[in-house]
Amino acid sequence: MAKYRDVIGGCLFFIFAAAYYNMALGIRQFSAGSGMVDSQFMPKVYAILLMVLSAIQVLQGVHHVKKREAEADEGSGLTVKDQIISFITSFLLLIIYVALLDSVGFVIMSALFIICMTILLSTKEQRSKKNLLKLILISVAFSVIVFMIFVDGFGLTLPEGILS
Amino acid sequence: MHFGKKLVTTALTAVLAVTLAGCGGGNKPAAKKGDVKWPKKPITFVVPWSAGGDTDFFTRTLSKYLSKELGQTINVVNTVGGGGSVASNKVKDSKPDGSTFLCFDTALALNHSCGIANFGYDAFSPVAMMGKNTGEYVVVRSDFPANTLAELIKYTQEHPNEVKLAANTGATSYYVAVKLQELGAKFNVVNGGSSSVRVASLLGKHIDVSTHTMGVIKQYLPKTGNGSLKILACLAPTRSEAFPDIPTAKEQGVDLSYDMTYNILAPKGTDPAIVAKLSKAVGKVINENPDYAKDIMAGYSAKPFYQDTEETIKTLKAEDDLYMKYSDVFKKGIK
Amino acid sequence: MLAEGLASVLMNPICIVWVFIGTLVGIIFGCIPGLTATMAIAMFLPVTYNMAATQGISVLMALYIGGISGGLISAILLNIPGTPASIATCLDGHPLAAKGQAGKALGVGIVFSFLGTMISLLALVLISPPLASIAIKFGPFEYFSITIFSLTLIITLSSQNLVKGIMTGILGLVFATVGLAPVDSVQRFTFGNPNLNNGFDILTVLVGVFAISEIILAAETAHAKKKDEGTVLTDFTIHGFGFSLVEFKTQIVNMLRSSFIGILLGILPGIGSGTSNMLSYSVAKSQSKHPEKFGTGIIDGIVASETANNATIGGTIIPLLTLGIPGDSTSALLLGALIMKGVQPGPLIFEQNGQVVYAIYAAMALASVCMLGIMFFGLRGFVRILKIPGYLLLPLVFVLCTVGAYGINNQLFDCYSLLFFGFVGYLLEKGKYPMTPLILGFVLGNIMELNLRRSLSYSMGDFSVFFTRPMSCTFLVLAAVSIIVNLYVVYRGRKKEAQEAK
Repeated sequence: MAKYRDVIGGCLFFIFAAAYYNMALGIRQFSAGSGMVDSQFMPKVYAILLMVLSAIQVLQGVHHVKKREAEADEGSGLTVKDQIISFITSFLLLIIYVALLDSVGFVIMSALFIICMTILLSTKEQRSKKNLLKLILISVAFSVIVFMIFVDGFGLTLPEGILS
Repeated sequence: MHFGKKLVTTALTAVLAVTLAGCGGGNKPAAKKGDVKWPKKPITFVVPWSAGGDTDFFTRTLSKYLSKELGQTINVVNTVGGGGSVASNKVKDSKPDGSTFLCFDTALALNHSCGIANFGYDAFSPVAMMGKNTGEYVVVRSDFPANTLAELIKYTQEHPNEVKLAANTGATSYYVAVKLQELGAKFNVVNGGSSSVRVASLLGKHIDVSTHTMGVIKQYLPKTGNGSLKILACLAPTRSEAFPDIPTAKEQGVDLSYDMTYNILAPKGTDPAIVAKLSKAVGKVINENPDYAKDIMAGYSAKPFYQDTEETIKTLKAEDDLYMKYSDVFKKGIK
Repeated sequence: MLAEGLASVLMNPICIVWVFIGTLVGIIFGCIPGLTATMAIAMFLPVTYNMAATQGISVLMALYIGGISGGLISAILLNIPGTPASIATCLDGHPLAAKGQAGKALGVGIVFSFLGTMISLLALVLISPPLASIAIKFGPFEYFSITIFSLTLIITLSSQNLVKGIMTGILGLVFATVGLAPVDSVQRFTFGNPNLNNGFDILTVLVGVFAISEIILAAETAHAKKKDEGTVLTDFTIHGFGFSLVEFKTQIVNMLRSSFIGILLGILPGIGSGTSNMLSYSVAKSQSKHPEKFGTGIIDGIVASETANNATIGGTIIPLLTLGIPGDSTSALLLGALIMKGVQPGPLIFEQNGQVVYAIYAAMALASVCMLGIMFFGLRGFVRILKIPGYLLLPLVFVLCTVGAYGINNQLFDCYSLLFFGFVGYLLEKGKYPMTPLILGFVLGNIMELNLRRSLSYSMGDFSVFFTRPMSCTFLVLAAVSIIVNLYVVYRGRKKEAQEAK
């Protein structure tokens, strides 16, 4: 998998660049006295450059695959499937946190988030009843303190959610 | 787990207490009977330009005294971008609860006619007009070979496309450029950036002609400053009282004049009682506060100017009609 | 005027206390990723309304200096830049901390931040008029060429693989195109969403790409049941600032050069500390006798970055006071504050408001000293932050990032942007693409395009003017040279590898 990294990366970039070029064509043209360089120009330039470079990268990647054996994956040593699972769990947690921020409120969501995320990021040996207790205390205290400092102290606005 | 539960409950109770306490804030003046209960929390005045310009100055000066009058903090926020349309879009879509207002100027109508914004003053509930400028001035470097606007136009006809006139899409400078080209001038119309950037460009010889309000260029004029720039004409309909010896473009035979007004607009649907209260407070500050008058005289040599909600709507409509006439020309761009 | 201005700050105990508070708050905001000096100043503005002009401005300057200086803390300890001005500090600061020398890294960063500010203050006081006249001479052609030069130099020096570096750089430029276009303000890639009218906020890009991707990757490491190596035992007993006089002497040239770069980019509005730190780092690397050591944890990198970003502060003040042109969003707030106090920037500012100008100078000096002091005493404390295990620290940091993102405009949209860029950063890390060019491309994208189009409108579409104007031509040539040199070095390196393999 790792040895195809450059090839895959290059292909993804190429697709992105092509889509970007396509979207650029939809930009309204409004020649307000500045000549031929309108608002579509730079996006098109970027898209073309990206397509050329990603093509080069794919070629480089293919070259590497052919020439050398797969380099040792310095990553976490996970299979692709595990990497995707890990990514989805952590990213999902982040999304849920942000999505419910307004409705449930900053303090509660932050406390919940810190607890869940810390559990996610820690290994089995580090999880224990005692640590869990400490974690809950720290999460709640932290969330409350941050809220108080920034909203009451500095006058920022943070969603109060169901506590308002 | 008992101990932990207790602590969590205590913490949550503390949180509840804090947030409840925090909800009641804001100091209000003594409410009169029948008064609408506003403002309950800080107000935001959104200025579509970066700090330092005329609209920003008028807004900030007004809000300094207005917040005392209303008894509530007013935060002036600069939301720059899109020739002012980012800010106007934002306020247009914000909650009409009396917490956010747009402090804009004549450029609102110009944004509308240039197509940068697909709405004009009527997408808002106008509150009041908070100022009128002494006018914008046509400015060049002091060594420029022309001394009046009429001479300038003639110069460009003799040297077509050599003289760079700064104009920004969706701003009054754009209107000026279009009108001047209509009158036969042959400028190279270029994009100039914000007011202070244009002044620096003038000094650095990157552009040659630009329009400005007095406050920004005062320090560069011969009598009041170091004399590196000079004024060719005033673009207001009549000569300014503060600078009576600067002729208007109309007097020089150039058919170009417009007013620069500063307005406060609320999101459409704001409670008319709030609009009325704000308008009244604004009027009070502008017409009755001597410190306010002193500040704007010192900064922009301007006199206090106020129009209530009804009059403002009429003025805004007139502005919109005036510039919408040029809409097609603007949208095509200047050749 | 001079005496009055200086005295109003330095001899006024209330003012001194306020400057101290301002510096402290600035440092706090600067060091927490997600919170910025801009935010701090915006929140303090109402507080300054009732203060005298000199006092109010002093507090704001203190916030500014604290904010720029504070970024180095999180850059070094967490590998997350607290502000765009400290991105390059991560490159060598974090590896040095990982080697167990966090105290040294912090100490170097602190001292040279102080020196950077003081040197630029000196320039401000002594040669402000000539610097201002240089600033005026830079027109859109020169701006364009300088941004191209910055882009190429940083890209060629920041990555192993030139192709990948340029690609990420262009990706950054691509993200910068989202929003309203410069000059004609047409909507680009906004999908009808008014929140995108102003484009993405640099904060969400920076924090998203650096911090969020860290979190996602950390989750992966934990998932793989690999034990978190934790941080190497670090130097808790630090003498002085953690580095020696000998080491200091080796950095003097670096310091002077970086200050020069910082001041130069400061006087050009629009190009500020976000760029100067990376440019200075790249230049230091190219001029160094041991460029391959950059990125492994040497103090040269930290010195280059931190001196430059603080020197930019002094540089930014020059066009701010003499032309009324703010260099970045933070100084725009300063400008607003000045105007509110009745101080009109321009050539007559010394005559009309000289005491405010001198108060600014005094405040800069005082705030720098406060910064030095606060950080010196906090040094050992900061290092102890490393004792917090990563699995707890990262979520805490994310919550703070969310506070910052939400605080930009009081809407969740910016928090979603944060996640989006976290995703982008994660993908880039997986593909082994360098991240610094992305930020740089994003920061410079709009300035570059604006000045390109403006230049072409001035020259009526004639591209040759970029080369007929001497300064513009110089920078473009330098840009081309840097690409050619890099290609040559890579080619030489490949040949050497091939020879050794035989």
